[in-house]
Amino acid sequence: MAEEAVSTPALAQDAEIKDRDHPRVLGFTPAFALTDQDGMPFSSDRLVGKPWVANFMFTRCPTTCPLQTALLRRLQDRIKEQQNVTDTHVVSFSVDPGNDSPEVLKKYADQAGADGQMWKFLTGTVEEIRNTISREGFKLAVEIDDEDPDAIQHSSMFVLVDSYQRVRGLYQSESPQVINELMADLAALRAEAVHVPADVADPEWMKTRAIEQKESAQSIRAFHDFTFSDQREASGIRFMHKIVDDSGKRFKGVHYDHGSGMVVADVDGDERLDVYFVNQVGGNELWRNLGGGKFENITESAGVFVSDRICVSAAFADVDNDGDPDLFVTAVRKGNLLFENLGGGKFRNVTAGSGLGHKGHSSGAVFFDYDRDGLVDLFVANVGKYTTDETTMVTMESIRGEAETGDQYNVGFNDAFGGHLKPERNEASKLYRNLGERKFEDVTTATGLIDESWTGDATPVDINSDGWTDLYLLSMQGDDQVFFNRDGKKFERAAREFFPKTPWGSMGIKAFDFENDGDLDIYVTDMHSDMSQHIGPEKEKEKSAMQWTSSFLKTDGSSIFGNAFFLQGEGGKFEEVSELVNAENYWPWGLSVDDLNGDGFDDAFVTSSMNFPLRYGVNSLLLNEGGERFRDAEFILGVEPRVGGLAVPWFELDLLGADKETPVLETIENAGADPKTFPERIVVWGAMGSRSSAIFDLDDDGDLDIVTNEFNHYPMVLISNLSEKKPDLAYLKVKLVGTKSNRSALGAVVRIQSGELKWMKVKDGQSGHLSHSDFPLYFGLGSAKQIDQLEVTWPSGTKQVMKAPIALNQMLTIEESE
Amino acid sequence: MGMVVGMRVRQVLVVAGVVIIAALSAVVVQEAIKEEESVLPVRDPTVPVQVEARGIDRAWQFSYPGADGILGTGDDIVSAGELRLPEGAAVQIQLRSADYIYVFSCPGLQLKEIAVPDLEFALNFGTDRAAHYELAMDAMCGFRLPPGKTMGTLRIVSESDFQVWLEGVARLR
Repeated sequence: MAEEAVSTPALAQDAEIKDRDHPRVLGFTPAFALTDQDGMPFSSDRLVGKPWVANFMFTRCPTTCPLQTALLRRLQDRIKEQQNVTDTHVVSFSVDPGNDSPEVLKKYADQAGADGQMWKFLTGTVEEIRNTISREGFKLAVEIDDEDPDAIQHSSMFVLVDSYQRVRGLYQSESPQVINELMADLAALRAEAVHVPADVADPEWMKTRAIEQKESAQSIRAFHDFTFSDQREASGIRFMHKIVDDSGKRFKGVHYDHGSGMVVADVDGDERLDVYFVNQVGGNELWRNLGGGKFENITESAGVFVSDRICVSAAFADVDNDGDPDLFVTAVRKGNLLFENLGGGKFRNVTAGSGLGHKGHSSGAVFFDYDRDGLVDLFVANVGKYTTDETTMVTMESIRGEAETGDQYNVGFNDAFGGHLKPERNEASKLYRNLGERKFEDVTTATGLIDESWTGDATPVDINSDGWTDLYLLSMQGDDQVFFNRDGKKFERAAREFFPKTPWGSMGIKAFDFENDGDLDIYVTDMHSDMSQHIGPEKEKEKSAMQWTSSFLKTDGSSIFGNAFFLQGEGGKFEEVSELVNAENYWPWGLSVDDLNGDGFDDAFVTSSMNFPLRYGVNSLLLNEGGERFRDAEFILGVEPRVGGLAVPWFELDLLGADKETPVLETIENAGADPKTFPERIVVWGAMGSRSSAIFDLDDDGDLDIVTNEFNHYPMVLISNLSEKKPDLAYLKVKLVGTKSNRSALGAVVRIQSGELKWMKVKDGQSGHLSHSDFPLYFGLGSAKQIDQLEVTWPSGTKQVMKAPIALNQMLTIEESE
Repeated sequence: MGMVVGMRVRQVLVVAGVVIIAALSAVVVQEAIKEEESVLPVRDPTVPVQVEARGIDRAWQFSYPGADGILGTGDDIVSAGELRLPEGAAVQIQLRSADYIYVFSCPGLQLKEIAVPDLEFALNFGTDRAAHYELAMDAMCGFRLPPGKTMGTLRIVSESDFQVWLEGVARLR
């Protein structure tokens, strides 16, 4: 198999090939998740942004494979001879997976002189290989026969793939000119790519910040001797968030860039938490947790596939109290959806007749039982009219390696960001009362919950501690609003005595007990204020120096320009201490809060970044240092820099054709590119960015993991190794089952005591931007060795107390007593 | 008395001379204007300069009243990217937009206001001495200019230079 064993006519001719036609787009490559010669997972998304050459072979092949391997070795060497070319891969797919284990492939690769970083030999199951090569894959012939290698048949073609994973050339490997042709076409593909600005792809400040933060680690008292690693490939999750063109090649400042949420619940009753990803284009997906960190896509069989509308958020809760979480999804203009869980992870669309099918610009949705009648009610935040009646095709698919969807979406207003200045664009948020039997009544007006501000999300929280759950509404362009719940009958807009100033551009919120002093504090993130000025990375921890005029802000001095942290003190008074506790960051969306290091204090993960056409923004992981302040730890804990780089191809422009006059060229120029240097076709890259997140014990090992929903990319599945690094990790998971109260127990308060140590958590379902999950409460117990008492205050008013012994490190299910 | 008379005579002569020169000048100016076919009225310095600043296609377009003296009619005089104003004048800028949200920002004069489609905003201020300022670009949710580029210029010039410039812009139309 080694090169010297084969004589090839092609090797004798290394002359440049000239006057070749530019490689055309012939089709798309399949998504695959296989194993490489080192036994490591290797999936197709590793190749996004890189041109590559594929072939199909097997180590026992007596005929064409040795020749192909020798030719590809030659190709590898010629690519490596070129300076500044480090991104091209060669991928050899084994068509004999029964024999070609990673070990066998490794030996073969070594003998062939393959550079292990550049040239991957992949194997998998017969089904995986077959799917990758034929059927919906490369659409090339393959016959796999484990028993008889002589019966194996496969294409001898080389396949050239571009950085968008599109097939750009098929080459007869027997052709004497094949390597020269490949080299010429690879050069043509490279010439298509626009230079990615360094501050998008590989910014120096990231390196500096990583060093500085890691140097600060020794001063952090909170436990930080553990890490997260992105195990998305190994998890099997193939979901990809995709955007509409208003955030891509038709870029404009419109609210589509707020992205989509993701929610978590045990949909099939197997005690494992499953994940529902919300998408703008291409469909939402439900991934069933198989255990051990593995997932399978059950979207179709579960009946929750939605692809005909731009979806925004989702919420899980047991709407009909039948013991399983139902699903509510919000969408732009084409109607919100309610899915009833029929049990076993099967759903049916029950929107018709539910009263929940509002068609507008819905955003976040939260379930809570405002009247404490034992049925969860629903608040839906409606932003305001940010889209026009003009519709256009979704075209992003063509550059992400999949077929066009044919879907249409409503184009955003050019001045969408000024919508709050135009009362005619207001769209009131809605409160729905649950009538039972999955029927809801719009009680917005009847309860007085009249809110026409540009609200994107909300949290239920008992702000005045009167036992009735109030609502804190996040206005993304103006003052936040608080509505007090008056005995479950009326809502009353609070005067500003509780929160005299609120963030101007609020996006995310979480109410939790920061100091373990028994009351709820409130953390609000503010993204829009960070848009008034493009600042350097060194100023990200500062409040925004607001540049917009008062005529635009329209809040008359009642605004904070940046995140707010309202610490609840004596007498239920809230004090804004965001700078004191280090809660500021840049371009934040929402946040998830839980005890990531198991020390008994809740930490925060804040999804951030604005994507194209701006630079990268880091996600913040804030470790709670004893209830005194947050410490920045995203680099220390391996959350940053993210795996796979900070930028990806965003869209492609045909500058001699359809995109000749596109205004986005100006945007690209403004971001630092020089259009004069653009070739006929350019590929524009954008910075990555997370939108939503959920913190939960994904692999059931006792520590908390993080899953994100990105903007225009695959999620991150950040697996924690805390349980390995902290042998004395003490925790308790509490699953609440309401009986008199709503079955999801939303609004229940759990208090735990261990000696002098006390903890309090409220089940509110809040985790991440645009996301309302239904999962157990998690208590990190720090140094506690036992639990003396656990008290549940149910929404019904029932108090339930459990005394020691209560075992640590378990899932404790508590059913509401009659 | 004779001296007085003489003074008066001189004054009369001076005044007459001034009048004659002014008349001649007016004739010359009128002839010149006739030659250029301009009909712009002479600006009343006690009335604020009216300008419409319209954001369109990511640039500023400044309109001044034309021959009818009324802003917003078909004969407005339009300048792209350059706002020119007379010194020592009261100025009223009406801010409008044809498409996006814009921020009219002149840091040198500490002026800043927004322009939004279908809405009207205004800036009222007074000019001082002749000067030259840049119009800056404020970030507005994704819309920004590359380093070194501006949204235009604001020049404050003498009254006569302003008139000549306005005539020139009108003639270019």
